[in-house]
Amino acid sequence: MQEYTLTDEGRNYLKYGLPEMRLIELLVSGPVDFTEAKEKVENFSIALQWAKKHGWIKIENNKLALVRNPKNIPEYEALKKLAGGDHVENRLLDVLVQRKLIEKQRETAVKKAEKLAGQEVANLTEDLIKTKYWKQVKLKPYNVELAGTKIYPGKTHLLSFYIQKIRNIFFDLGFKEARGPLLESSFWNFDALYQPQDHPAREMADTFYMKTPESCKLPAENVVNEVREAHEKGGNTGSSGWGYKWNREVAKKAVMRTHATAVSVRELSKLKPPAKVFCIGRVFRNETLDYKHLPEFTQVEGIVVDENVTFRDLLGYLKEFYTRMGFKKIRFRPAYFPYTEMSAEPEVYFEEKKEWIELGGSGIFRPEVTQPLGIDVPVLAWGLGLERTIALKHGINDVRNFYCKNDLKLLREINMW
Amino acid sequence: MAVVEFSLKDLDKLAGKKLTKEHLEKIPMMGCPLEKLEKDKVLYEVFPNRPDMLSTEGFTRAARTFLGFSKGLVSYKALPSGIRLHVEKSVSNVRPHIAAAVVRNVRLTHDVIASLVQVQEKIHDTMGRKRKKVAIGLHDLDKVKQPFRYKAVMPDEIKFIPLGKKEKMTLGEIEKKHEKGGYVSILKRAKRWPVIVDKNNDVLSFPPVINGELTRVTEKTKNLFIDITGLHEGAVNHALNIIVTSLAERGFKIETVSINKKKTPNLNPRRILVNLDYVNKLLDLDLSKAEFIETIARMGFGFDGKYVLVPCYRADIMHEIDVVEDVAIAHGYEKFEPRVPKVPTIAQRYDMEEFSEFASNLMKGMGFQEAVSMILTNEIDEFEKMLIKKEDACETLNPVSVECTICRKNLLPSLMDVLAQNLHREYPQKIFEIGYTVVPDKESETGSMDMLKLAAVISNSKVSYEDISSVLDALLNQLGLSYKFNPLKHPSFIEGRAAGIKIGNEQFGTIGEIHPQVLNNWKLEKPVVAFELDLQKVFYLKK
Repeated sequence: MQEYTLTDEGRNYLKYGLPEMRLIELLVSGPVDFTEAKEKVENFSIALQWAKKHGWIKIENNKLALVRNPKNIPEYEALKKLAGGDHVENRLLDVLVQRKLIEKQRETAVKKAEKLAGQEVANLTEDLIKTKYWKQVKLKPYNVELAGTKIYPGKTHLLSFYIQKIRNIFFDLGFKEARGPLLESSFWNFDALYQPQDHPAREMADTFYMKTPESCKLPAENVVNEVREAHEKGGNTGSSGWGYKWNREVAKKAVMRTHATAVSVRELSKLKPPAKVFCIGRVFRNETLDYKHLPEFTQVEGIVVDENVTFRDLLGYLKEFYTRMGFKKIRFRPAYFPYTEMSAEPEVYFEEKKEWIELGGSGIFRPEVTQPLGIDVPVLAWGLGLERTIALKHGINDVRNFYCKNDLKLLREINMW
Repeated sequence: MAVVEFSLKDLDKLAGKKLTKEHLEKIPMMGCPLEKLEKDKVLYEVFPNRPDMLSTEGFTRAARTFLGFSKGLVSYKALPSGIRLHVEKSVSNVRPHIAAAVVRNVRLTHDVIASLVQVQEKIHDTMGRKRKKVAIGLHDLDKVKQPFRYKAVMPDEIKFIPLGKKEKMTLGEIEKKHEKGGYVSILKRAKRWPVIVDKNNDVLSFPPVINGELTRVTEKTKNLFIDITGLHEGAVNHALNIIVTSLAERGFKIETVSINKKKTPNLNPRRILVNLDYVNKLLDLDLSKAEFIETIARMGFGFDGKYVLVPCYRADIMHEIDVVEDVAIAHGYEKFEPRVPKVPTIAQRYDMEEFSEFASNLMKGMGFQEAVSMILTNEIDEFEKMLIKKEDACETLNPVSVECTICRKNLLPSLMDVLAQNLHREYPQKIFEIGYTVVPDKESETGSMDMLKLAAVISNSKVSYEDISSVLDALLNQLGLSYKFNPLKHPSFIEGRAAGIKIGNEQFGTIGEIHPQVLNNWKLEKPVVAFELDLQKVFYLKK
């Protein structure tokens, strides 16, 4: 007995005839339109393929016509023989297997499984499972202590991981996400932040100025005037101002933004209190790349704009934020930024290093910053550089490894969770 | 960042009390991080808003009240010296402002000189903007005869022996030969350069470059003449006040100099109105008026019944908010209990970030490692190595590094760089990046536009176009887009193995196998297939 058995499809065709047989039946009474045949014959494409292959039919002028009416259909005869347990020549067996009308007999699986009974086997095979012979074999124990082949999952970059983490912290606290241009005017990057035009941070040595585009457009004239007056004599803010002649051409100069605060002030100029906004984005400093200095890094900044917020609330947000970042101990030190007053520097305690480390800056925006933008309520602001935070958290000495170099070994192997 | 070094012995002497380790560790809460504490000296960082703390004397003055050794405003007196300085019009377009003072009966010990040199140097570097905005000159008054003149002269008009030299030099020669000649660049645009001379036309100083040897200050100097020159009148007067009040802290006598019709220095406190409600509201404190006066006294302020009196060495007090901060500092940052307020706002995600996160997850799901690269790049990486003709790009004006001359327009070069950096890491390497490029855009406010893109590469000993096209197919299908690949000639790719990504009638990117010459240019040794997609354009299409 041959070790083949009919598939469901094979049994079906044995009962109702092969598709090509039904096509021939249709054509016996004369040629039929291609589309009509397609509609009338089930599994038309199979029928067409095999009828053509045998040379029984032809296509002419979009009509199908019989070339000769075969007396018997070899595949059908073979199916009948197999069903009856008769011998079928190998050539036809191959065709039927190819057409998925027959398959190797299931009994083989049983036999194969039978042979294994009582033995110790390495592989739990499909046969063993299907035939339930697994009950009669002993499955050999594996060396479960052995490590498998190394695989590297498609993985989030270390930096993106923290960006997502921080975004979620801000969302949990009810903040709106903002974005601003990477290439920015000096106006939004410096002037709107009350940084005098001769401030050292604006010098060429620290800031990337642009050759193309050389300058940017200034915002509405009333905003420009308010900012100019704040710089020169304090404007309506009650400040003495910096006491110099403000130059609009200097404010137009294009720079690669040096801090995310540029985005915060842009947002400030648009919003109505109460508001909470954050931004995570790339910032630029004109430095030569080394293990500590990056010409580009990622800055996080959040602002809270509300009539009733105080210095205590600033510290409260900082504490909440850093706790959610995974820092258990935090303290605050006086600091200086030209655009905030109070200014505070959060320090977090690194257990591994047994050390307090300054991590970011914060403060309440000066009235000279907020009032020219039409904001008459306190604005709490804080920010931090992400790469340094990550490097500290993961004990990475050279920031270039995960940033510019994208060292695959480090990225593939580092534990982020 | 200015880090200043103080002798502990000198600090104790000026404080009138031995400063303990606890004292020295509490001082940073005044706003000056402790950098280093050694056996006989201590280093603190002084913030740019407090140049008055750059001198040992000024630093101790601030610490003294903060630590509670004394309190309130220190008043300084300056009597007329009778010395006159005449300012000629010729300086008005080169270095217009000058202030001067006389300090009598000085005893210049080693510590005093060390402090003076330090404060001079640090003021030059910080508020002096490297001597451009403010420069300080210290002179032995007894070596010269008043009245003095501040005037501008031609570079070869006057000769004198500059400090530390033996021979007379003209100003022009100083520029060329003297080690401080570089500072002449500050004056460069002017034809005439400033000098301070005495009655006999002997040169005291060639500001902001160098003093004369004639008035060299030594330990024997009895009386000092101090000049401050610069571009900003306020800053010049402020610097003078910092220097003279420092010397007054040593018990030396300050006298004024008549400059044309004015007298400097003016050591009177300024008055500023501070609203107590404003202080209490911002700090969430409940200070009574008496407590407020007591608190500001710990920061060296006075109070005249109505106004806060700001000492003459504090120029950073521009607004009442600056006094509020000093109240917070005096109160102690550590005493403020953090509190999270209820500011009722609703979280809002930036929609394109959401979209890019989704695309990123799809790429990671297909086994790609995410990379993050720099936006700043250079023409060689961006164009040359990729065999692309140089195009317009956003270009930096003054990069200190040749690596950072333009903003990237494509992500593919970034990923080629990642591959090049990881030549010896395990293959296959399947890497993607979602990141911003910045392209020139004359119409926009900033003259540029940020564009979010997605690029991916596969590199292995054997890779085929199909390996990457099936990835892009899956990505675009999952983003719900139908697309066509249209054959494309692109210099970065092998001819006949590159296609444009067409969605509707528009191009959204490129896909193909990287040209072997490009691989050679990046020193890569295995074939690479890649695609780059305008993710931002896709986002707006979907939106």
